[in-house]
Amino acid sequence: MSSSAAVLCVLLPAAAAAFGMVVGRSRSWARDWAVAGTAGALVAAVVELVGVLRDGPVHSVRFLGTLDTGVTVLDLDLRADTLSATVAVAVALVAACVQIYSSAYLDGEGTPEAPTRYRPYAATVSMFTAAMMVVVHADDLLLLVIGWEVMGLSSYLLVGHHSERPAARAAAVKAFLVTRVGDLGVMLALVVLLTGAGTTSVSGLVELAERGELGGGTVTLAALLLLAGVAGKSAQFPLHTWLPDAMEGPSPVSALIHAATMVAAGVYLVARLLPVFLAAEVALRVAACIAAVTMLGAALAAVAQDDFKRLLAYSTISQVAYMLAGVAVATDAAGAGPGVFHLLSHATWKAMLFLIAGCLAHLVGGSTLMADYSGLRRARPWLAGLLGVGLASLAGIPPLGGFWSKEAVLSAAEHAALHGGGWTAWTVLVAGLVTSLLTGLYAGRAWAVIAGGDPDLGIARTDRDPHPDTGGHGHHLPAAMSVPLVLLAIPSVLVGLVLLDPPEVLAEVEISPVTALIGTLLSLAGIGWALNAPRRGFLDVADALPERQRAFLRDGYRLDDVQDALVVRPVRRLAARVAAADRDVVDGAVRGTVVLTRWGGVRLRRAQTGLATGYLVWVFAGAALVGLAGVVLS
Amino acid sequence: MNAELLDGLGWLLPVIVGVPLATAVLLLTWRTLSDRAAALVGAVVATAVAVGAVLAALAAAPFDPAGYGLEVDGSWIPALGVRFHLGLDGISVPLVLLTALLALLVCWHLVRSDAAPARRGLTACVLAVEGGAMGTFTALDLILFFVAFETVLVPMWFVIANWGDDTQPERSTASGATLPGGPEARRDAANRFILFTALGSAVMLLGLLLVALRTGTTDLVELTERSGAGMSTGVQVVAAVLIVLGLAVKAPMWPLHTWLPPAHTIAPTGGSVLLAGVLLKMGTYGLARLALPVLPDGMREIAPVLGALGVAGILWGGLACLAERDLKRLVAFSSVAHMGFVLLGIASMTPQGLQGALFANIAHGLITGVLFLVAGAVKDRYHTTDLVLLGSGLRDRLPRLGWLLAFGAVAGLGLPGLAGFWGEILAVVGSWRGEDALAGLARPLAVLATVGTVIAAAYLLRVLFLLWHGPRLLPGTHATTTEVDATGSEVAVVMPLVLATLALGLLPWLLLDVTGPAVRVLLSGGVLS
Repeated sequence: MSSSAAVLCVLLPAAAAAFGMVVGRSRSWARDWAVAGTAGALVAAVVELVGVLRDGPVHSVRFLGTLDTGVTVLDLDLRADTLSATVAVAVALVAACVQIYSSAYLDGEGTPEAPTRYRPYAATVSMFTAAMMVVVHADDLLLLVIGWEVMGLSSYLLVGHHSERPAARAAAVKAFLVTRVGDLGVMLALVVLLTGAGTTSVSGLVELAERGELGGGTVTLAALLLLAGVAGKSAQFPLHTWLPDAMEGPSPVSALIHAATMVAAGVYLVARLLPVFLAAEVALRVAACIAAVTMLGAALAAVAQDDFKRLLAYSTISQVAYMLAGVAVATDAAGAGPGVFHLLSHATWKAMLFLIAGCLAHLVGGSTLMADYSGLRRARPWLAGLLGVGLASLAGIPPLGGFWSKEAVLSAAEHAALHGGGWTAWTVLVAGLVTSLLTGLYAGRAWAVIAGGDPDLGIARTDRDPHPDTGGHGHHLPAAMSVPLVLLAIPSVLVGLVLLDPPEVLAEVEISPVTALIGTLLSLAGIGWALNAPRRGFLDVADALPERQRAFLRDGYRLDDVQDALVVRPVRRLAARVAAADRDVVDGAVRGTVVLTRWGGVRLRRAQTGLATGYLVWVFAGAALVGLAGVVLS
Repeated sequence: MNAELLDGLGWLLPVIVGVPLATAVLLLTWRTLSDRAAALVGAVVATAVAVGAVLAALAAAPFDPAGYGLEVDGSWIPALGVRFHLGLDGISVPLVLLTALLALLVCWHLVRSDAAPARRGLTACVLAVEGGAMGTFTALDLILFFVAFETVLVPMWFVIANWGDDTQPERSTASGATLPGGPEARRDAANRFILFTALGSAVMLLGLLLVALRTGTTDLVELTERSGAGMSTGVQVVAAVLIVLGLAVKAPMWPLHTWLPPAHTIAPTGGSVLLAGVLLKMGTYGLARLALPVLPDGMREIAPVLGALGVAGILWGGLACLAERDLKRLVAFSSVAHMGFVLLGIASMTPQGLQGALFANIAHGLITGVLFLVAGAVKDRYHTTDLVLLGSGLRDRLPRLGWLLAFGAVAGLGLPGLAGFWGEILAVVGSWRGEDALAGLARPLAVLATVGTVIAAAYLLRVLFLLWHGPRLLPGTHATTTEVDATGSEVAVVMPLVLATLALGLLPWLLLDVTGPAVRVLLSGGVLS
């Protein structure tokens, strides 16, 4: 049962993508396929979960056949276990919500200058869902890489969805190229594993690693290389620069791809191959350091954002770093639980927050600035309530989902720090606790700016005066947009209940009371700090920062400039040089032979004087030379 | 299909070689035939040849164990011991099918392109190229191989010189000299093509003769079985250098590639498709079929150089693409980069590398075919392929053509799940473990080749950034042109290539299972291990 469900998880959205794009012309046809495909995937994922809980995991579900590389033979198979099934349920749930939401969010046909492009949009979201399902279920890294890169392609297409906007198309290229740089690591890791271990099968590698039969050099190199891909996909320092820009994509896309699923795929890969990473201690230590730096840095940058979506983007980077940290401090093969738990819980409330961001932008006619939303609590109490649930969960306030999963990560770090995890575990623990404070601060700040304040200056202004861009319905939220929020709010609140009877993958999740208490108090302090700002004269706690520092943080430490100076411009210059050299040097040499041949022809032509005496001289000279040669050589 | 039905179909091989050539002669001499009728005749013949090629492939199956599933061996020039020996095995089958498919599509494309002048001659040239290529891919005799190899040159020269684009703008070099445009550029491109390849062929012929004189046979099957026996390493190195040089011009290998961008840019759409999909493959096929098994020791000596030049091509071609303004030239330079992976795979002398090289060969033929057909369709509409002048927002202006362009670009950057990926990754795997042949260069070359895949992503996304994305912006000079999206027949010509790219990307074993056994035999000296 679970094996066919796993195959269907991939095939249903894939079929939806193909049929929605290629067959039929009408918008409703595209919508029906899109919603049916992802809803079907959700049913399949639930069936798969029930199946693996009842009958145990299934390895090697035949999928794309067998690959003969000349020496080794690889099976491009799927697998189904509690890890894949739980993540698949989360992916399909968010995808289904996003497809329903998008059918209203991308309403109408738009203008000739800025068409809605709903059909390709819906098909690409379906394609993305299929690709993510491949990643989740792949039992072979080559198959996983197919899903991995098709996700990247979908992300490129969807970030650049509003391709008439220069910022959107630039962000799309950046998203693809930065992750592709990380994927160099994945490609080379595949090469190293194929050569050193003779297989890229997930089951095979895990088995080899658990038996200690993977060579030390191979496993360390492969794990470090994979980590580069993880950093790219999961937007971890220093390859995180694409994610804030990716917010140019439509909000439901940010919810699905750039918050709930794709960016978590890197962490998923580490969790999936945890035994391999455990055999390469260095790689896990590097991962822990990356995670610690990223969670702190991104949270600090989030505090200074004025754009709600960019704030959420930095928050995503920071939260994904928590997940990575949770996996990186694992000490045994079952230690992926805390990280995966945070992945699942983050998927629900972060997707909800992004969908709320979409609603807010919809209400005010496109703006994503937080200041434009002020007064939400009085203007839209229920939307403000959902926002509050999402932000509180993000900050880790009990008993919401974010509390359980974040404290699980911190508890795992504490456990590792106290039981021989070394300085990296301590680093993660301290960074995690400080990040708690910062998370509380920026979540509280978002609440203060959006929910508080005067509605007449923000959200209510456009209620009275609908923005022309939204076709005059700026003040109305259709059911297709509000129902998904509720669908996601329920698991955001209740996900902690999973710990009452955890599936196998979450079996080792524990909450340590002391760490949980410290973490919660710190985030409450952060929230309190932010909410208290009005008493000190600011509505926005970030106003307390000096403008220069605030701009520096808002621009993400200006790392884009560094990237530009170190990579982009040198490569452009090199390309220009190469193009010139190809024309002037390589081809210049070829043209040179033409000149040389002509010159030689002209010169030799002079020997052809037409005078018999002249030729006779040559004949005698030749004879003398031959004679001389004969004497010398004999 | 019933196996007995397919027995004794050896006669198909001379048919798929001879029929296109004979038709070409017929078309050239039948002066009263109208252009449209000639194109139709060509298309029908190409279809028949494709059916024949598929039948021959089926008859040659199964490809495991390796061997020539289909073979004809007749006397030809007894005085020299040269035989008319054709055969079909796992290495030639994919290329024969690719040639048949591309020739078929190009011929049907000609039927529909009413604007092209003198289509009778063009169709004849296309069929002559097809016949010559079929001969090259099935020949099992050195001299026969050479003759077939040369047969392709002259018709291709006519295609470029007669039907090429004579409206290219002038270009200036950094040193101040001006490269010609217009009809002179066309003549230059055609002459460059013929001079480069004829010179290469002359060098290759010397190598082939050296092998024939030292071993006393020109039969490839026998030479493969001998695996270099009877030739000292020194002789093998000399022969290998000569043969590789000749074939590398065609591949093309950096720095012998400068004939390719002008030839591709100026040739008509069908000519570019055949150049990229068929002619370049003849070079790399020759390396796999002739050089590797016949001269293993010689190849091992020169493998590091071959691999290094292949990787140089990957990086050089990619970087040149990043700065290129003309869509067709860009696709041409990307061919240099893609064929670099093929050369690297061959130079690794490992089964994975060779599997990758043969896969990348086919994938490049399909994907570049898509890109050239799209570029040709763009050129038909706007009479330019300058990325800056073409305007932007193709996805909104011409959605179907836009999506085909996007597909080609995405396939070209080696996206896993499409055909381009498998060849590249296997070539890199081969290089990584090819320490026997590549020595200390094995791993650095593998890493640098991987970097090439990022550059590929950069230049192809740049094309999409400029042309596909962006606001609706018509080309400045043709602002009033009514735009026509890809027509049904244009889509029908590209679709088989798109579907094949997708099929090979998702089910790579379709091709790997065909070439696998033969590759193992090639590398083990003709003996089944």
